[in-house]
Amino acid sequence: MIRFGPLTPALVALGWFSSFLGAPALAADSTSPDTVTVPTLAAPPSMQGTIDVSWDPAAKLTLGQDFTYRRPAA
Amino acid sequence: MAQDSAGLDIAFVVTQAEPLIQRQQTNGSSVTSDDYVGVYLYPHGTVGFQYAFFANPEGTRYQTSSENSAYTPQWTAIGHATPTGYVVTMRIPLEVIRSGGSTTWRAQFVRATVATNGLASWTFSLREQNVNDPAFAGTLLGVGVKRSTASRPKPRAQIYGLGEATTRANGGNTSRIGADFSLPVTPTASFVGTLHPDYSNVEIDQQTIAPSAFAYQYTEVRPFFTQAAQAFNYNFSCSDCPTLLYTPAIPTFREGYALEGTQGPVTFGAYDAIGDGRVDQAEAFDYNKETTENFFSANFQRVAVDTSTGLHDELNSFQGGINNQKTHFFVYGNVAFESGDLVTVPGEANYQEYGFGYASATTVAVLNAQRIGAQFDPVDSFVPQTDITGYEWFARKTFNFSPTYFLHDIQVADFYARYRNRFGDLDQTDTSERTQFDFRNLITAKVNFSANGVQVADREFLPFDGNLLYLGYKVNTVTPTYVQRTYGKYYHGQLDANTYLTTLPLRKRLNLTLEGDQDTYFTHFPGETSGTQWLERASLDWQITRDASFDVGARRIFGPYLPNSYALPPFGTVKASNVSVAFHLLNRRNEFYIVYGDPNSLSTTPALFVKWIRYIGAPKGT
Repeated sequence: MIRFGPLTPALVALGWFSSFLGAPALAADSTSPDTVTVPTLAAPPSMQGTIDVSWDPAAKLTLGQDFTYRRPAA
Repeated sequence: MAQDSAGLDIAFVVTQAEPLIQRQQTNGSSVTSDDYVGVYLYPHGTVGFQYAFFANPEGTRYQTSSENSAYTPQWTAIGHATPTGYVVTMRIPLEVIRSGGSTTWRAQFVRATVATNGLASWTFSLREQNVNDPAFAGTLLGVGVKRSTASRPKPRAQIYGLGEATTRANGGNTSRIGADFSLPVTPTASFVGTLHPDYSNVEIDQQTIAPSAFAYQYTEVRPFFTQAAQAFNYNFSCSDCPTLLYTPAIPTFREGYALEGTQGPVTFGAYDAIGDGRVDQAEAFDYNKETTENFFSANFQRVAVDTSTGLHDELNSFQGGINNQKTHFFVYGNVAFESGDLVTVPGEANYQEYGFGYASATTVAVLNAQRIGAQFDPVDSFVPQTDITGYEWFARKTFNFSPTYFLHDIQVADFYARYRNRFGDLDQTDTSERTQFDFRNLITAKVNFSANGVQVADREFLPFDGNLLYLGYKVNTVTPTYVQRTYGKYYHGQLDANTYLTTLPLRKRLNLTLEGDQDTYFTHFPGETSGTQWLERASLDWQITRDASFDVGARRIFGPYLPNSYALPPFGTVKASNVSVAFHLLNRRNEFYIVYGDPNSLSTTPALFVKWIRYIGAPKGT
């Protein structure tokens, strides 16, 4: 015997209604991958959990998108 | 990001207003339950081996790779809190990555924040289903162009010596030595072997009394298989499907040899495990091709067992599918054919599954048809239930809200399945509706309605419901707390199961986990008795340093087992307790275990193990 749970209509309604609550704005699509040439340093930079001048030649990247919320990262 | 002559140098400068969650002190997988930063590296783009390196704000680190599930090379991560967040610096040696000399890599950088459920990334596409999809990752140019180390991987040998002190009744004192080795045959493929392999590694406690109609499945921890079996069981999609290669089913063997690696879009593996009176062999060939438009995969696999008694059992399978990245629609198919002495009706020893659906980052909907023959039960596979033919429907949607909204997300899921046996009788049905709420204050609530029916061993069709009420706090962190109640019609009676679990942070490096599980079966059915089974567990985890930990665990299970679908009553009772104590240290070249007992055994193993592993050449798991 097949028994259906009582929640199916409620889940559909909840999903539809909740999509209007606090919904984040969509991020712009970025289908062309970012590209960076990795700078080569003469010696390893400092590894102390801090940023100093030895990191100056490094390429700077921004983690600018939030995958979860699909919008620009806070 | 930069590089020097021998490594990649990466610094993350994080601005974070929310309190840092940084509980993990010893290197390990729990790092990704804290706030963390990480980098995914794809030396050959969308094909070949993949790597990921993570660190929490304190610099505790964890790494994974598709080349070995025990991938544990030495690399550097140092982290410090700052007035505005935290900074982590990383140095990843080029020699721990099998790049094959490639200088153009794909990469993705991420930063996760527990308090907001946020996952910031370098590159992003609305098409990607996962943040670590290499087809949508960025590109690094000139990687390793001035490297001072060879791009060809080093050979690795690990030699172990083990002493065991135990009672005469438990086999008496003993000692043994053995070795594992890995010899690169191409820049991206290796020959792997093990001689006199050892199984006394500190295992996790996998004992559970969670209500289930089917047998429990266990995780493989043996080093030979963590590397040799990486190419196996690749499937595009499957639902409630058999595990075609289940290496925990392979008993202790004497020596093993394997070839594993990648070449272009192909990943391959083959092994031969030779035991006393038994040989287990398997081969796998995976072809995967992915672009930003499509993803295609095909897996061919063979698993065979031969014994000295003349038994031969063999399984040949194909699993594959194609996905359109733009529309998110996909189709897939899996087939497996068992042959050998255990099969008397070949048509009843097959597994077939075909399906199609839609999968995006927040939405999944799949419809499939599946058939598992009455005789499909390969020796080296895990098949929860045989003799089923039917269809399944599954859908899941996650609604993510704003990080500042009181509710982070709602997940709703629906599952429906209906199967009949070869006589046309209904032998499995599943209907479940699950709802999960994740709040900004890190409280999680779940409400599930789950009605399941299974034809049991005496061919009676009985319910195994699993309705669920769940309330938790910080459940995805290193210090979770939750209570849950599972209830419903069960076998000939009713189930009422409760779980209480909490991990308490006693000190910065000290966590205490307490767990109590209670399964009560109420019945008035003639010949049956009601009863309650308990599992009580306590463990103390002292994370001494980044490389060393000390754990004490105690557990007892007592009371009658719940009814299940695969055995005839009576289902037996248990009264067992287990105590284990373990110290573990892993540094660049050495690994030590001092262990009393076995955390995963039902009862205490009265033995003291002292084990030393020396790594020569390449690091552990590479």
